[in-house]
Amino acid sequence: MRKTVVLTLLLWITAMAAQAQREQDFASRFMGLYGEEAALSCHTVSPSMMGRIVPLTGDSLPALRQVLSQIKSIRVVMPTAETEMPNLKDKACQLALDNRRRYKPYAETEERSIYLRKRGKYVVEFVMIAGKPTSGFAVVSITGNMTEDFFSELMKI
Amino acid sequence: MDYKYIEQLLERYWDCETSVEEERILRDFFAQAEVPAHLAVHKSLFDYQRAEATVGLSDDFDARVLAQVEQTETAVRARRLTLSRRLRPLFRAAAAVAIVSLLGMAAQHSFKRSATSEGWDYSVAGYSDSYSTPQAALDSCIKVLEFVQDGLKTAVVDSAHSSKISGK
Repeated sequence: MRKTVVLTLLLWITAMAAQAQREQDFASRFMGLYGEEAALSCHTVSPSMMGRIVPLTGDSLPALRQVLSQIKSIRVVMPTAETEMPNLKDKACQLALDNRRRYKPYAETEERSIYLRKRGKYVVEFVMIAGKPTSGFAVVSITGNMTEDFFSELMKI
Repeated sequence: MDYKYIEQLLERYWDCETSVEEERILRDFFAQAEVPAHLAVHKSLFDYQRAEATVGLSDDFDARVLAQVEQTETAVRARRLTLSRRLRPLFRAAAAVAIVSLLGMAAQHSFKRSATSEGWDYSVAGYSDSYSTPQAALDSCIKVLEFVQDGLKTAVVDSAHSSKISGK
């Protein structure tokens, strides 16, 4: 009897915890994995700060306002020092590859790889992994409810 | 001596056609000490039947049975059931229903979520600002967006997805 009650409570707590568990963006996931060993820093603009930024843009820059209004957060991961960081770009690309069901490749050049995460009609995360194999490494993770015109508006800024 | 009659009775006995009287005749015949050699094989069967007929209950049988009955009666004692013990089956049923419901709801939630949900699903609590003022954050945002814009432009040149990015 006691076992049954404990099992029920455990299941209930697990279910609640699973429901409470929300998604983690690419940059924070990357920081969690390699932040300490590779001496990386993460610059964050939170959703609440984004809400305060949008009014500052005024009416003079409608494209910027349009773009920012679709963004919820921005994170930029960079090395803390100008030292050589071999394999960081590979590691980031590998992380995206390991989560290929979540992050779909969008575009790729020699120095940049871009991935998108979509939910329904929205792009909810834009990930750009930049850098040469040994220098200039950066991960940009932009989350929000971005529509297809987000990118065309971004080009107008 | 002619044993034809006995042999006929035996044949009828094996066919289960003999009467009670005829079976008594057979039993009496085989109760003799001496029986013909060709009929001797059947003697042990009738001897066994006669011996078993004398088996009965011993004199102390009733006393022993009664003693055992009394012993069993003393072993059974009334027990007082507590309320929680009485409600135990109800608790078990409730727990079973709760487990099944939870699993069902979890499965339903999981399917619904993956099938119909859309839009931003990150935890606001997971973000802590690196910038103390909105202006500093805005400046940083603009730099990042320019960086991204530059990246997209480069990607447009090299990628097959150029039409998607440019919105054409």
